[in-house]
Amino acid sequence: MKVLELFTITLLYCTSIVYGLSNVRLLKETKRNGQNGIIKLTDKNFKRVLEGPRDSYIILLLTATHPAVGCKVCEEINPEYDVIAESWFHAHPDGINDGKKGLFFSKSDFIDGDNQELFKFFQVSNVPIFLVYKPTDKAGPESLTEYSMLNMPGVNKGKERIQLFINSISHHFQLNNFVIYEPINWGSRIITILGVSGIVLLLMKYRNLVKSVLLSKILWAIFSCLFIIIMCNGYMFNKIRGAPYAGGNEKTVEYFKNGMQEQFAIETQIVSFIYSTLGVAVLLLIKFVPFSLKFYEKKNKEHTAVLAYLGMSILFLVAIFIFYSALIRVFRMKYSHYPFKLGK
Amino acid sequence: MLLSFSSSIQIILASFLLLLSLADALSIHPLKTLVVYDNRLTDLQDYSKFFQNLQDRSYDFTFASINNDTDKIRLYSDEEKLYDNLIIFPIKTKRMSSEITPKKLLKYFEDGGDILTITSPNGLTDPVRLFLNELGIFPSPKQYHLIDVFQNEGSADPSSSVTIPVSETLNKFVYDSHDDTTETELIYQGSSALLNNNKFLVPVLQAPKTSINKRIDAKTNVVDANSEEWTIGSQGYVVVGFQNLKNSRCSWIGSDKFFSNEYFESNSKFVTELVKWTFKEKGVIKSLGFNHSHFDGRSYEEEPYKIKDDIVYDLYLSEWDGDKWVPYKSDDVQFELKMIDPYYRLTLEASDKVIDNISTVYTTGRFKLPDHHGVFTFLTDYKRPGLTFIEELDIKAIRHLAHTEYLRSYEITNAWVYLTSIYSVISLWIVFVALIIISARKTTSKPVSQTKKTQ
Amino acid sequence: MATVSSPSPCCTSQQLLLGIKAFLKLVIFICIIGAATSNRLFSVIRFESIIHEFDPWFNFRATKYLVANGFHKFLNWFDDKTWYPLGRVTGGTLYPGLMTTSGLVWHIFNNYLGLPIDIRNICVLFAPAFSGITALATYLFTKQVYHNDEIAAFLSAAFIAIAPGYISRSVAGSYDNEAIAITLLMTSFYLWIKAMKTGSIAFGTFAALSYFYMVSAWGGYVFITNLIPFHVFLLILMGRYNHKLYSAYCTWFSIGTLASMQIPFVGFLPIRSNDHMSALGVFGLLQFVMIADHIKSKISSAHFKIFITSSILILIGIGILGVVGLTYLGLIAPWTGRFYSLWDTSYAKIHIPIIASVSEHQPTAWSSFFFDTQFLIWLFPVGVFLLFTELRDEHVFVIAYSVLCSYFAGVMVRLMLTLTPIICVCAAITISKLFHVYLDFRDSVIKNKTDRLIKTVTNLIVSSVFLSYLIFFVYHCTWVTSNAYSSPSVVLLSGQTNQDGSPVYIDDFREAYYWLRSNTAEDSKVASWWDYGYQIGGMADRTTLVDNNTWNNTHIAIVGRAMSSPEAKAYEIYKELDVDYVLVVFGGLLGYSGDDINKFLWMIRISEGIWPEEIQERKFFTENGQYRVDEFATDTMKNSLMYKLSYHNFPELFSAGNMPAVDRVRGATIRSQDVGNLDYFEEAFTSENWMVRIYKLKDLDPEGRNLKDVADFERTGAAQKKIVKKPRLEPRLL
Repeated sequence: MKVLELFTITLLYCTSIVYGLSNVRLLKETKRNGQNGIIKLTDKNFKRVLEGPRDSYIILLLTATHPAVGCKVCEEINPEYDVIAESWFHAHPDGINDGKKGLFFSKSDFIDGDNQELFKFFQVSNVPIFLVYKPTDKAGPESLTEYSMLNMPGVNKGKERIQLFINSISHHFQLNNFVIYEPINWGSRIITILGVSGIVLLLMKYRNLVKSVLLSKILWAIFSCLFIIIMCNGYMFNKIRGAPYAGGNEKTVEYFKNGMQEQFAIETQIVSFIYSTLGVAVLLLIKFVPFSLKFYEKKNKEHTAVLAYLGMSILFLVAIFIFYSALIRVFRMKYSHYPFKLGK
Repeated sequence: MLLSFSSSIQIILASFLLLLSLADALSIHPLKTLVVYDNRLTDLQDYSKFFQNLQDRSYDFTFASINNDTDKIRLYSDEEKLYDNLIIFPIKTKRMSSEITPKKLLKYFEDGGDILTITSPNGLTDPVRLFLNELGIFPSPKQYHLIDVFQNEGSADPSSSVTIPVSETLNKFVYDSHDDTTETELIYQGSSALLNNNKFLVPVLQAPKTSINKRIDAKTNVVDANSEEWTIGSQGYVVVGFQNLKNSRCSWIGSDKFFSNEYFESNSKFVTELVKWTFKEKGVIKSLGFNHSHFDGRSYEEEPYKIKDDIVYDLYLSEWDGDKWVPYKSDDVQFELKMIDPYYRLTLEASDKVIDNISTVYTTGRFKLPDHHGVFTFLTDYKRPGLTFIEELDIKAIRHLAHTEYLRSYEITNAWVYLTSIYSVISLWIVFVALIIISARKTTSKPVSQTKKTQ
Repeated sequence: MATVSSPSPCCTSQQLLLGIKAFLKLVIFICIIGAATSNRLFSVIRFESIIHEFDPWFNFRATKYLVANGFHKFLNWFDDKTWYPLGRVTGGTLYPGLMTTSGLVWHIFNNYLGLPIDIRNICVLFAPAFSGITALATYLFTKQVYHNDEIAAFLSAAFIAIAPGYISRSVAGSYDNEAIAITLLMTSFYLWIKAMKTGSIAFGTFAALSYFYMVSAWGGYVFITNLIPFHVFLLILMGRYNHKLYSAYCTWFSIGTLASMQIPFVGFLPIRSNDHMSALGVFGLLQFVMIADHIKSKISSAHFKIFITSSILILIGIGILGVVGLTYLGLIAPWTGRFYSLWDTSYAKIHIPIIASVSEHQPTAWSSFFFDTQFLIWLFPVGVFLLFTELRDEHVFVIAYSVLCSYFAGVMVRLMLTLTPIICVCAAITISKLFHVYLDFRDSVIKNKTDRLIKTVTNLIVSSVFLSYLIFFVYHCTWVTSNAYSSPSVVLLSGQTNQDGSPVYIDDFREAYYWLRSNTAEDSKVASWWDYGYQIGGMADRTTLVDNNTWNNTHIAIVGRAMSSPEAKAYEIYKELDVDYVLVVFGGLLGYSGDDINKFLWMIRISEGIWPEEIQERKFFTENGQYRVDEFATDTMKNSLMYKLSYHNFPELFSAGNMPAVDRVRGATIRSQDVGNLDYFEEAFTSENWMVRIYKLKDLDPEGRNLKDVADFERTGAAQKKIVKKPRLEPRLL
């Protein structure tokens, strides 16, 4: 690994004559002080790193991830910034954009200490901020003050914001081949492979059991029906919208959200339960009640048969009525204009 | 509604006839001219040669002094424009009259009135100044003079005149110095102006490179060293034209003396040309329309354009020669075919064809429409500083090929491979079916015979 | 309900019974079709015979073009009035089924029957008429699927006739592709089941022709394209391959695919798009299974096992490699964006805001399901379960349909429409089964009279309870239809009534469009957010920049960019596109929540996708991340064109009464100092309730100044500057 690194650096030295020495200097800084391809800036090194002349863009993130600061955005941005830098260096190991200008990343987090002077220098009043140094011929302290602010794109955190950020800087700095690169996590891959092969082995061992489960009509039927019930109860709505589980405040819990276009996740569960009960009751009414009738008839217990027939029918009908009216009631909570009622 | 419409047509017709009858008219419009002056600054006698020159060219003057003839100073009667041209001499008062305000001047200008404004370090009234500012001309304020210490070395009067060679004229449509073999020098005394980047400005003369514009104390006649320079060197302009989108023209000169009898000898030719330009006796071109059609002569209405059609675009341009319309010749007229971006930008060729002796036929020649359907603009945007603007545009759709207008499959040699395979498969299948039927006859004949037997 | 006839010894009485049965059937059909049609006429009765919403206006306009110019011209129609200046190859980018059908109906009425009917009325009443046919098709489908069960069939027909889930897209005036598509969907499925059961090539061909009709009518045909192969695939997996299946599928696939490619908009998609690959794959698989089946009958089972496993492995390998390779080479197009958004639910939000912005593409809450189908929704899984107990070949189809479609409907509201028919079928099966049990009064083994009485009473109780639920369902459907789905959304009800009791209508849209039609030049270009593109084209007959056919994201983003830019920039953008008028919809005065300020975020998002450095969503939110329009709104928000156009002169409207100008949609007070001057646009028209506001772009200044300077000059021209200062000018460029 070390040899390879050395090799690339020497290789870069050779090519660097074309691109200017500053790129190599920055690359060296990135290797030495960097973490995930981001140069960590301190009071000691920031002038050295940021000073011109340079052939590259340097993006500088000033942030404060200390919980006491309470900057939520800073904490969100941190890993995203890592991904951006990593993606860049993945496609451009030398940090240089197709023989044109280079791009390097630097960061200073207030939590790391040893950077008061730096924060004072940039007169940081709010975090996080992105600064950009453009390629310049100037040298010395004069070149240090020539930076511009970079807008933080997007509102939504995560991949979306990373993409917007990359789009924006690609456009401005005319960067090529800059796409999000997500490093492969070998550890989890191996675990997955082991796990899968383990499961496969288990399945092979209990082949017959698996086969009977797979071919079981009743299991498939139950599974399908449950799937349908869940899907028809806004499960996907919760997934997509990220609906909260329930509403209300500390004292009272709100189970149902008013409005047709809104819902809590718990509503899906409650209504699914109602539907299932209703469904089972109807099913029993169709299948089980006549079955019991036949059963007792065969045993020549006519009277019991008929009474059971009556009793169970009434029982299920009452159950259906109760749950159906509950359903309508719940629906009226969602949609207050609904004029119909069932029971009370 | 209808009535007023037809009557307005009549008026247009009448004015057109009037135009024709005035065969000796010099401008494209009548020359009814209002001259506004301040009798405290201007003695009309000093400009007699200038006015005589114009009157010889059938200008019809109404003179109005700002102090005495306030009732005469009216640009409009109701909504009707009273004068075609307006000449404003330097005016000393801060305000002029309720009839001449910056807004009214601008309205008059936008209604097609041409204006010649003359200011001087002594006479720069606010309405005129503000009006000029709107056009992007910023004349130096009162008491600021154009000084050229190099030209007037040792002169006691710092504000004495400067000379500018006429060959330095910046716009050939206003004054063509190429014809001028004599090295005439224009004598100029007065203000200079800063210009902004308004694209409709037609700078005519710059101040000399060695000049400077500073305040001169009126009483002591000494340069106020503390005053900020209004213009330095060729940053300043002394004669500026302006033409708006409606082809009205306005000229500004920062010197009334420029027109005076005193300097008339040297300046007369330039002045004449400048006035001619301002009042549209020259530098006027017009389009008599355009025409585009399929190359074979069918019009768009007969056969709408589709992609890759061959078409021709013609444009007819005339120029006013001070007497009548004559064909206009130039080699820089361009035609654009655009849909957001130009797909074609072709230089129109002035053909030898002339229509009715008044217009040149410009043509693109045959060209192919782009391979892209859409709503295209056929545009000639000919805007040259000093010439009246010409913008002819026509928006037409270019449609895609209809499903019957593509090549048939057998006309494409590449498709022969596929055609061969299709037809060979079909014929082989027929052969196959035929063979099956022939070979199967024997086996099926048995049950048939059996049923016959049972019957 | 159909009565169960007992076998009769006499021939004539049997014939009589059959006759009565047929007559009853006819009466039931007439009732169902009558219910289906009349239920959908609320909007016509309450409002008028008018085309609804947005897309139908385009369909209507296209139909008018078809009727006026004939089919050939329609097919090659280049529409230069939309998507200015790009234009739209309309003939090649629409599904012509709807227009051609109504054009044909018009033709028959006018030229053969001698009934001169306005094309508008045909278009308005098109959907109700077809819903009757849908009921018929559903009847046939259910009968085919479930043991020729007449009760289930009639019930399902009755359900689909009045189920709100289907009515939502097929009321009178909602002249949209879906109106005809559901009819064709059910017909195609019916014919497919028939073909699959009989193995008849004729029915396979009919299924293919019906499929072709469906392809010509609606983009949702892809559902059939995938569901039928899926059905076949499942059957093969279950080891239920037979020759009938083979001949039915092969006929359907080859004829259907070739036919579908004749629609210009579909073109080569069936062999290039991944959406269609499953059909092709199953076709190939079926060939393989057929050959394997043949070989199986020839060789020993041990050899066959080796043969089959090895060839399956090889085939799968080749198939996967082929699909991946072809996709990589770009020979088959990747899945379309809408397709992606069905599976990866966050895909649309990140990559294609234009799809996410459409309200039809939102996920469905449970209450919508209940609203649209009421008690059918909980009978639905029972029906699926009942089908599982038997699990015939055709039952597999219904189950696959139910499971897949309930997922899709959960992801996108609009797919509720395709789920509704199968809900009706399954629920009908459940009820029918129930009635079969409890309406069976035939002699049973029970001898005791009281016991028999008890049983009969029980039967009666159960049946009557469910009958009352059915009646409740009818009430529900009628109420939902009349209250939720019968608004044309072009005309609104204010909820108030005049003195004579007639309702007060809010007719701002038509007022504004009529103004455009009669007061602007015929070639004027009107810029608006794309929602109103079709309406402007259809009602005002003016050229639009973007419309509801959202194929060109960039062009839509340009309009969004102009709306979210400051005035001067927006003016520049619009001038480049030759725009003459800008139309915005503003609900602040009336409390109409579907207005442009509420849609504004989507405009910003869509344009941010293309110009991220220029438009940033963040800048429209306050520090606290709120979307506000009152005094706390950000400057970017206040300077945006949308804000200015919406609130122009709005505070002044209230200032006379010294009242705060409250935006009734967002409950925000608008201050006049926040609404800047309008320098580049001038108000041309504002409708009665301020819902539609039309602005004209001012002409370029003849003197070449920018229009803000002009406006400043107009405002301060009277107050002249006293002191002359040297102007700060840019160096002059010569």
